[in-house]
Amino acid sequence: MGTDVPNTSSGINLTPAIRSSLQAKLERLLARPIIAAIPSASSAANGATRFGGPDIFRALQLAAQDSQPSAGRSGQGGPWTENPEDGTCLVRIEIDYDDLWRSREKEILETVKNTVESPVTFLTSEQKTLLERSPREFLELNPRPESAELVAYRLESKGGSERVVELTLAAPPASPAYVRFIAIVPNLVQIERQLDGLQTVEQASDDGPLGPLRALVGLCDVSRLQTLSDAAPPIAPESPATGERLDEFQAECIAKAMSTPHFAVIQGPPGSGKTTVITSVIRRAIARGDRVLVVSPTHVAVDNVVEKLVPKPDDLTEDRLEPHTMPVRYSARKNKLSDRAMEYWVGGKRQLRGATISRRLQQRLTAHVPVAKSLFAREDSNAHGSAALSASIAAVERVICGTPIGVLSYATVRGAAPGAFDLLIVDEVSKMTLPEFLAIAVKAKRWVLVGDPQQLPPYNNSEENGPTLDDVLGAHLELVCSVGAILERTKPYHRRATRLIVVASEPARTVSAIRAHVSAVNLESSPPVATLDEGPMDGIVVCGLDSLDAACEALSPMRNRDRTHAPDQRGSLPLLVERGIRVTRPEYASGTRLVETRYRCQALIFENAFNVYHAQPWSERAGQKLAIVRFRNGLEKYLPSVAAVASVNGHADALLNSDAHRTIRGEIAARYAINTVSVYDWLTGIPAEYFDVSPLLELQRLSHPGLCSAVRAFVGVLKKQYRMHSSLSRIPRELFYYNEALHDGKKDESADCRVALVQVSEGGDAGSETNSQECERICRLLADLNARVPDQEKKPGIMVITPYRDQKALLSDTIDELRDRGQINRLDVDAFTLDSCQGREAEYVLISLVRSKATPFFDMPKRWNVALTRAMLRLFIVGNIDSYLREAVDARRHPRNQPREKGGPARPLMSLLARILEAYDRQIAEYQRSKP
Amino acid sequence: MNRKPGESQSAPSRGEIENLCLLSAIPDEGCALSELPVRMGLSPLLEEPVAEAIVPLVNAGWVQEVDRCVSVSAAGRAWLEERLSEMA
Repeated sequence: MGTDVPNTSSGINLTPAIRSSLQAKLERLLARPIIAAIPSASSAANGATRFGGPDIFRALQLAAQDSQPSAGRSGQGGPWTENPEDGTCLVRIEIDYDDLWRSREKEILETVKNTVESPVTFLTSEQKTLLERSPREFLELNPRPESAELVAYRLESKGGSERVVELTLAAPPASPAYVRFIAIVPNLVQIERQLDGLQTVEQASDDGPLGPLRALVGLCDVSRLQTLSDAAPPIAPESPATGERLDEFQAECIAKAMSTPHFAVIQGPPGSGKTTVITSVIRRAIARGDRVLVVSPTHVAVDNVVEKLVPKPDDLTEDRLEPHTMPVRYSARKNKLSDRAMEYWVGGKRQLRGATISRRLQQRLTAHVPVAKSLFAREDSNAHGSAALSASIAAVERVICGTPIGVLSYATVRGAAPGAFDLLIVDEVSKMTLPEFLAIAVKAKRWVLVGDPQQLPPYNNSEENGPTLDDVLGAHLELVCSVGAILERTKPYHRRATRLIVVASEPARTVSAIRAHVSAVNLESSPPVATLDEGPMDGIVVCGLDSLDAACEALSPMRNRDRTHAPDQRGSLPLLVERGIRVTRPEYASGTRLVETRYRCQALIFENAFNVYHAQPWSERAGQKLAIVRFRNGLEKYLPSVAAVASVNGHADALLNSDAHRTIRGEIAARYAINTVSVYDWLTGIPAEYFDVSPLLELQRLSHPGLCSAVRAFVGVLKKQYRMHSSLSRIPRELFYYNEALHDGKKDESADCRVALVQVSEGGDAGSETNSQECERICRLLADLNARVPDQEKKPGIMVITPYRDQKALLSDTIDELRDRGQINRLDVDAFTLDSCQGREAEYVLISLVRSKATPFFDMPKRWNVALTRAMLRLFIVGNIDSYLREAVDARRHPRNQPREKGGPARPLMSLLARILEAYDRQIAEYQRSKP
Repeated sequence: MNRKPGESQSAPSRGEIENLCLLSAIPDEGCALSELPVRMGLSPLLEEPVAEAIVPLVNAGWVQEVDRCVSVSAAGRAWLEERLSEMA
């Protein structure tokens, strides 16, 4: 066992588990970093490659170059080409595709793709050596190597595969002459900053400004929070300031945010005025002298706040340059910001905010100082020198906005002492995990968290999160549980025929552990498990590394046929290798394939627990079974059983084994929660009462009632929505907010039904996640809309949303073609996936369902809630509607689909999408009946 | 400072314009620093940045500051008038 979870009087101390999780992620990231070489100016010019072959003279030449600064300088013809427009720089790179990364172009491309918008690290030759030799020592380097955000990359085709050959970075390194390599490791800097945040919390005092954060992670008694809450002045709803219009819920939430001595949590359903509340809180906080930090995981949400803070271009008459109207919008580069937010952009080396403030000052002085108008009319715009008043006003940085990790790159924030900001406002906090929150939270002393637990949760990358269980399970137990995972994922009638080679350090011990586990978790029809010596060769064979070839020979289905060396060929023999044993390529190439990380127990625990966590509470409250909730049945098969723990422990004491088993399950729950549960849930209560299976069952122990109770007085809900026509808000209100929120805040001009279900009978394109028929139908709808809307300066926005990236790409291409042909010239159209549309709104929304039958991916209520609540005026759902409606009718009609459980009411078993479309269909029918 | 009294140039720089605006916003009888932003139509919360912008004018001897009250010196007044008349 790696970590234990000491219990403070307040709750469980989460810091050891957070630290272990982050360390595990870092080690996984650095286990095999992609290190790209930067060719020197001369080698780039003559086309020589760094990994070009065994040319001893070339190697000597390169070694000599490494010992001295390279000739090339930034922007002076060296490897770094700076773009004077936006400060980005291009650098050509060389990756060892010939040896180290041979045939892994796809993997590299995927990693580089995932690193875009994240920093890459500049390395000298010494740093590169250290990184390869000892990632741990590399991580301890002080000062840390420089980094810059990866903006884009360029590919070149070679030998039929796409190779990454050039990177665009947000900024060049400060000392380019010494930089020889670039480490492309996604999320490295993010995780390092999370570790820094954790350390700051650990070192803080209970009585200091970070005391509430210490209580949040269980480092000190929660009663301190309660004492602070009790001492806070009574909360009185805020009256609106000049020009502000607030409903009663907004006023109440603002009051809670302003009076909290620690945390305030605001639930803001779609269109309920979250941004209005945030900007009102900022305005009041600045008026009382606070310094405010505003962050959100998405740029769109940050820009929304900035746009609402700054004066509108046509409303500058009353612009007194109030400090809250001059936010700093920090971002490594400005390209991804909205036009208005860009005016307040501040980057690493450049900025536009100073010029914007100077322009606003000019307008104000012109209006108020009699001589100003004639002076500015004669201004020498080419004159150099500082403008003292503009500069000193621009230096007022009372509101700093950015993404949580990005803004930590801004010197003012990075250098700020713990608790230096009076207030941290986090938007979309339901997408943020505890470590992500701590990274930025340490800069403030009070926290206003705004989000919606019914919208998208934190992103869960199971392969990335899986290794956080490494030290909990240990290599042996993980191997045993992974066998359980493989068998569980095989249909029972195929299970008996499963063939699997397990490579273990102690084969005999592993065999008995697998047998014990399989029997304990009732994996019916399991194949025989034996060591290589035991024979006969069938089912699961456990062997050591030295006998792997023999095992392959004995069990391979290709034994009597032609050999293949394609490791992922269908029908090849799966090879499950104990962590820590390195199987080199030739040893598993003969008709075998390695079991991928995502199919091992650690990733599957995260994957399935995450699905159940976000679907089961809805399923319980909505009274409808969802197929995805049944994933919880699988969890038990690959979580460690008592028998497996006993077998690993090697002793027979039932009590000790049971204790060890409970501890492991508790620790798995802690790791799960730390890496996937949002800060929103930590503060308002993890919904553990809905769960009946490990590791979600153990979350009860982690959810601290004292914490929620201390914060409760400062939790508010915005219950009215102002975005959607009432016919659009009704179904989301009933299905996802249980009629407790999303009430209509404004009266509609007309009482018609603005939802249309558009039937496209053809199914999806074979073998892909696209549907060209739906794409065509959407094009026709767009052209039709284009013909109907008047030609106006502000084009109506249209969001086309689809669950799949492939379909989104198809739609984007088609929309571009329509735009080029001038067929949608009156519309502002953009395509999104379900997971990328949060925080946006548009007059019209078109949803392309792609599939005629729901997959588990479709069964996520939070995804659909987001997609269905973007439209302001009209919503079109395009797909095989009839198929889903038939599914709903069948589910309600056939009792065999409605098992009665525990004597409770019968629940139909249908997909979430069928339920949603059924509800819309009824709404439309209701409207048609009521029409005169 | 961008320009000394007596120096002649018809097209002023942005810095010089702001300084001239600051000088012309200070009444003959002087005023509290806290009033100055409001006299220029700016937020009262900008007292500190305005005070910072005044410092070079104080150092040049064009503005006198006593107990956070400012007034334009004779030299400052002369420069202001000279520059304004140059540009009239």
